[in-house]
Amino acid sequence: MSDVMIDVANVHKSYRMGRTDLHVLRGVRLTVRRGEFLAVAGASGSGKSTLLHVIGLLDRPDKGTLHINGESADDLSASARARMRRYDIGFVFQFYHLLGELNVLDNVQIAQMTGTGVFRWPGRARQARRDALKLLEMLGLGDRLKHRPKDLSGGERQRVAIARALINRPKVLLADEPTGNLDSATGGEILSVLKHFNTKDGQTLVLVTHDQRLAENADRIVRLTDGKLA
Amino acid sequence: MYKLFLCLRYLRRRYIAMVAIIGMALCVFMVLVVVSVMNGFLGLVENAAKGMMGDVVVDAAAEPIAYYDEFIGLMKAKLPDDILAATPVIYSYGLLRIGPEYTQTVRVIGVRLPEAAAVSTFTEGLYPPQLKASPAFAVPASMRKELLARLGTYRTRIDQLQSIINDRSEQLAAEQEKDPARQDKWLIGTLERNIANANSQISSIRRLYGYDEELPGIILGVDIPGTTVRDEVSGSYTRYVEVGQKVQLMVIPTGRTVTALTEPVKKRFTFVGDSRMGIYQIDSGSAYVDFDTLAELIDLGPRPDADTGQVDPGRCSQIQIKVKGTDNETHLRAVAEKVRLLWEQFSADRGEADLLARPTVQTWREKQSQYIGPIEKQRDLVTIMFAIISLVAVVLVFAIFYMMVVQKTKDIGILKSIGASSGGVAVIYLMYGSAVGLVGSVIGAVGSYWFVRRINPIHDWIATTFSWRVFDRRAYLFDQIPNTIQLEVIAGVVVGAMLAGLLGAMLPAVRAARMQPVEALRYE
Repeated sequence: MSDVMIDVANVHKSYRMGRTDLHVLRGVRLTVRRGEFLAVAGASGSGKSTLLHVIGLLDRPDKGTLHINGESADDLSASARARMRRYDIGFVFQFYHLLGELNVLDNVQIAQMTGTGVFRWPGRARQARRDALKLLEMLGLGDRLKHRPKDLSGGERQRVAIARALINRPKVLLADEPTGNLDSATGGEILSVLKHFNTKDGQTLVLVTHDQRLAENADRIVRLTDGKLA
Repeated sequence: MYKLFLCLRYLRRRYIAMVAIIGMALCVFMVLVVVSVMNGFLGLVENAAKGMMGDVVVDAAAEPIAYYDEFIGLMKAKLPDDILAATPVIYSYGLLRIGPEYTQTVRVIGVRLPEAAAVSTFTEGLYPPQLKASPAFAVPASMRKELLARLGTYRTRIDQLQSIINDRSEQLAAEQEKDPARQDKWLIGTLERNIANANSQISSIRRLYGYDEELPGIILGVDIPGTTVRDEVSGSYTRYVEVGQKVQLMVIPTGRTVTALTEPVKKRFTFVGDSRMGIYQIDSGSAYVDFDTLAELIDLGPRPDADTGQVDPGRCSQIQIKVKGTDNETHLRAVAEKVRLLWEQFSADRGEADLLARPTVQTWREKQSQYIGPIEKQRDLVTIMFAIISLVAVVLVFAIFYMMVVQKTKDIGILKSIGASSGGVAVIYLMYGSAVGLVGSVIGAVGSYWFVRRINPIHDWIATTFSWRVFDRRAYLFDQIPNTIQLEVIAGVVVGAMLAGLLGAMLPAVRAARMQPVEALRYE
């Protein structure tokens, strides 16, 4: 098994903003080792989040190649990309992105059920519930299971988002400014949770941040400036 | 399966879904109520139209139909597999006089009882029940005894009046025998008035109230104005004319020839019961008398020629036929055609071309097309109009779903980020649309079933509470709003509503499915 978990080669990505093209990524090359905690630092608008979206298969690059766990993601069909997002990649967003109609428990277990058919549903749902309960207990949310996201604090919401990202035990955890909306104490808590899973389970963690102090917790820091890695 | 899970959560927690469900339920309710009432209305018209005249009708063309009994006999003999029963009918007009004051124009219909019972539903609407049980133009036997007793009461009253007359007459004679100078003029005047009054009363009783078994019977439509009062809420009638009471009918004998010198003919009848066909226009203007009596009255009966000794045959306006077997229109048309051909043969065999002018032979539906046709068209038109209006439901669902998908764009991004496929996301919204359609249409169907079944009590409540009567039987023919709702109509409308929900959700669902996850997540 290769030691490389993520291999980004010569990735370009641009967006159309009105009448002008915004060239966000300009030939990014990046390799992330299995189990590594990598911080991608850079100023706002440097292309950090876009890079994370490309790695997380939420967006397609205009040019360049991407390999996750040795598998090329370039020619995958939409359903294969969805499958890879489901089982191999976990996402933690700055704004949590929880489903407002679902309570804490449902928000976490739904991530394990997106690929379950009718016949496997009962067994899988029970398993998802057990896993979600375990994770939420671990993250200190055992007493908030029936609460809806609007009734939680920012830190609690982010912990729910982390639980959701981890429930499928993904190989890669991508965190986009996970503490950006939190105070420093809560941010510190969240970071320690992420580091805990990175260390304990050996998950590859890619964290995007503009906060230098946060980035310093990573095994390695890469800096993105104007769409290029410095 | 998570799609159903999410769909149910969205249904339970989104107020907008409730709005869509209510909108859908109202549309289904509206369409079902209108279609059911219109269908019921048409059904009533068809049943009434068919019931009134049997399955096939032979109608007089230029001249009334002669040799009708011979033709009926011929039909039964030549078409034994097709003809179940047949009866002649005469239509005319007359002036009905009830009591000293009330007069009403009526359509006078001459029918043969109980023969007509085998052909039309006329006898089913007869009242009192004794008359319905043994239809005839005579007071039912069970009521005759009571009437004779009442006749005795009238006789007693006449006797009393007669004794008053005798007494006053004696007093008057005694007074008049006196010397004119000693006569009491006031007393003479009073006695004369008393005698005249008593005579008048006797005359009235004899003319109006006395039950006369010799007089022919007449059946009156229950809604003839002035003869009954109907309680609009309970539907019960209070009749001012009692069974056994005499009424007078005045007709013009227009049967064979009419000249400026033709005089109206008056005849007294005994009222024997009501006819309740259930159609206001018929029940409010029809009087039924015995076929032969009417034929004689309006000069349509057989008439012997004094010079030649030959008998000019009796005539009728119509021959009503009850057909054997199925009553579907195709079969009835085939039988009507056989009857027409048989008439041509009958006419040719008899060789009396003038007398046997070709009548029209129609099925009941063809005959009543002038009534049924417009109602059918009206129903179709209203259904089309409401189908168009129901498109509002599709547009409503579409608008709501589109808005919801726009609102939930971020959810789409979230779901895709945790591994939901594009198809899966589309299915969530399609399921949502179908669920809104299903729940909305089931609520609408149940509501409309409840409403239609109770439409008459609800209408009566509105009428009594707010003095506002929407359904006037004078305008809508029937005294009750049709309250039947057909299961196949419910099924059709529910399926249509579900398809509408699905269709309304289709485009938003496709849009949701096509959305790039990152594009959805960035959506503000």
